[in-house]
Amino acid sequence: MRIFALRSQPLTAALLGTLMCAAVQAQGKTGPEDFFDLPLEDLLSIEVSSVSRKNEALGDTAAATFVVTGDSIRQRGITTIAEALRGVPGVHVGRINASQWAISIRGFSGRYTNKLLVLVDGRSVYVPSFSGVYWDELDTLLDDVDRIEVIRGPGGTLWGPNAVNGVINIITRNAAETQGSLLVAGAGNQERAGGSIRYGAQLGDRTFGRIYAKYTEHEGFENLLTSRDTDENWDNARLGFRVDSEPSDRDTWTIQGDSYEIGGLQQEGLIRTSTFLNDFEAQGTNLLTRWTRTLDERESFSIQAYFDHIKREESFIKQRHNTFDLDFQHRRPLGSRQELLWGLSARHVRDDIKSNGQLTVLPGKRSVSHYGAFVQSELSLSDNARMIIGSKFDRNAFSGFEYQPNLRMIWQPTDRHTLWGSVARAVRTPSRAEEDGRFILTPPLNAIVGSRELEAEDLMTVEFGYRFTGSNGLSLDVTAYYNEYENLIGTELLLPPSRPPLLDLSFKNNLKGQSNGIEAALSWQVMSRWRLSGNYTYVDLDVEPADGGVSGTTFSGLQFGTAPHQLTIDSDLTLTDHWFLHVRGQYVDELPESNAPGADVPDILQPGSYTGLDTSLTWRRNESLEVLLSGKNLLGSRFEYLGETFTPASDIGRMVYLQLRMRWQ
Amino acid sequence: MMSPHDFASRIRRAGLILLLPLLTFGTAHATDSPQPESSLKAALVYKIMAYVTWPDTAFSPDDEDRFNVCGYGENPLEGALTSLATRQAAGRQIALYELNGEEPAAQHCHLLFVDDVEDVAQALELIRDQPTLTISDAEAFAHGGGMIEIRKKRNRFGFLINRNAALEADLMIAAPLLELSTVVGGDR
Repeated sequence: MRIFALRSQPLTAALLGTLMCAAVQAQGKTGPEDFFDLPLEDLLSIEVSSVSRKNEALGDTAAATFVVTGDSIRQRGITTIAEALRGVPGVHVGRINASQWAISIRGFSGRYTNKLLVLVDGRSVYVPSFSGVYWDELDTLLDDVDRIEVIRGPGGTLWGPNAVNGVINIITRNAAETQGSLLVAGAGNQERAGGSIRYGAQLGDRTFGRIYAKYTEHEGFENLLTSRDTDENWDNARLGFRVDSEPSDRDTWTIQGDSYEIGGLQQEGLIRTSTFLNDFEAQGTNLLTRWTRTLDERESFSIQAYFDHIKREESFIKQRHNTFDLDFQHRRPLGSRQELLWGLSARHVRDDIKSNGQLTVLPGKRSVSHYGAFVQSELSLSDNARMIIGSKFDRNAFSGFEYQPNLRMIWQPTDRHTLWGSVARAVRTPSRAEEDGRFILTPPLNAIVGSRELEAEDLMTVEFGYRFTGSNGLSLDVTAYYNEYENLIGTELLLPPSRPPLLDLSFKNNLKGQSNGIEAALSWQVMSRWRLSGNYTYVDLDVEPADGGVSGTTFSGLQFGTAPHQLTIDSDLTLTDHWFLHVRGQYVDELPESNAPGADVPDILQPGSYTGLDTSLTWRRNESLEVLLSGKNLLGSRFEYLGETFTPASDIGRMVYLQLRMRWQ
Repeated sequence: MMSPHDFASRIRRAGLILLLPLLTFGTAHATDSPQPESSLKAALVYKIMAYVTWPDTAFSPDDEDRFNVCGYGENPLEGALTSLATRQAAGRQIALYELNGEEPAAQHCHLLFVDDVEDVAQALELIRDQPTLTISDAEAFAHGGGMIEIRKKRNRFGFLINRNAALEADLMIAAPLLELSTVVGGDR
């Protein structure tokens, strides 16, 4: 998997490429031997430019990364981006119900996980009102996904605020690679129906385009407490396009956009045992364009602009956001041993938030602007050691000026061994709701009130990694880290209360935390047709009041956090030329008990540990016809995560899905 | 014992102090050959062999017989082909030979790699009517009568296979390789 190492694509991977790759340009280490043990399919999917540019043994990056390839998403019968992240080292995925997930990297799991940045082709899908990602709105035609890059640890130096515990980059294929027609249709017991169609065509001499449409329908699960059907559902319809052009040998230009409408029914209520079935609905439209000019092998620049509109209506809140974003970046050599990457960014967000009383946001409309600049230098220290150093500087409307520096070192004593280390700072800016919101609570509490006095949450991280690539198809990747969080946003008593004897709380930077953890990933090509891979994640997170907890109640916003231990084992087996079998076994530890007041849930609402078994069998007649049968969660139903707001607990049951895939010219 | 907080503060300060002076380094560095692109091509050549079946007539009955890989050109793949010498193909140890355009090969070439800078037609003439798998990264190689063309498209390598040319030489190319490739008709 590592071999797909971080290819060049503007703003996401290009930045990443330089960050990660600590490249060993000076060494020219890559020999044929590095490629001989890889399957032919993998060799053909390596992008030549990045291999040439980096000129290093594959996968030598100075960061903790993992790549989910588009092929593995397809062959494992995965139908949502959220589920594609399950089993990735360092990532915790807890399904809440039909349409909601709690997904985090290195702790702080929640439906509104706020310390994780998610990008689709360079466009941020982090919603500023709640500081999180609406996973139900995040989708695309999964066959067009080239890869999902998961970078654990702070990414603030390149990506700016909110890339605290990690960055997830979803990267779709160039339109030239998705030519012809594709039809995917499926049906199952939980995902009732799904259908996608794509058409790709050459539009000009050096211009390619594609359009797609997709529709899916999901059923809800059983209520954990009543064992009755929740009657929830989730429909998702979208269409989109992408055009890629190379007007000249040194220019590439992309324009892409999507429009979607999702909706369904979800159980909601202030008290979890008394919920009502309510509508939710969201629409979104985005348009992005990017131009990259390559001046020579070591110098290029790119400009990217996008517009993103989202509108979401739930029973307790209606919100609308319009985002304009502009980015520039330039990569150039500074002498023969040093490369400089710098960039500028500006973002303008206008929102309009209306509520029905449970959550009020005042003022209802707000326009904010953020500006940023970053500079990063990559330096060869010797033939086998490199250093990357840089910082991002931002001025944002929520917490003012922020700096996010990073120092990385990479050392490769031999071709097969890589050691790296990193020290970084990253921040999470307060959300619109934390600044301007008013959340109604249940007695004896009255409300949590927002505060404009909030500062950004910040993190200092120290990370070390070791990577081994064996000649016999064996590779190992281990990362250990220590995190120190300060200024975490909690709550404290607000005096005097507005409605005595009920108590008011106010958001405040009154928590701190530490965490440490280990992530280990092992991959072994047992034989040319069989690959075994596994990974283990350990995270120990502790959040406490910064001043000893005497100043009032604290509410950390984190519910159950993340499973301390997770183990995943995957087997990918090519049975014959036409049959593929994937089997996954996964163990997820019980979630730590919540330390949030009012969240003293009974034991039955405490997600326990579980062992899961997923499998998918593919019959591939030829390039144009494929049939896949997948079974998820085969060992029986489980309770993965309790949403922090308004939703009852769902028992996630067995899922079976049959999928047909056809391609033609 | 230092508290975690002190530890973080120190690192924070250290990070900032380190930041500035280190932005200004710069000295020379050396490069090596072959380029990774050539290495990747050599690996592709090696991988292709597993998908091809040679007729029995291509090998002498002698078990000691080698599998002969011939390179045509001054320095095919910048020498990356030499890495094949330690490997096996069709159950035999690989032996490497260099061909020039002047004289026919002294031995049978089971595989001929034609460097893209060379005259393709002249190279093919050397192994005419022999069970030799021909591979090249030269443009229009497959259309020009060669069997497998390694080409770069959208930054990735792919194969263009002239199946007729292979069949005429009595070589069988397995379906999984054809599925990964674009099959073209040749004019030979």
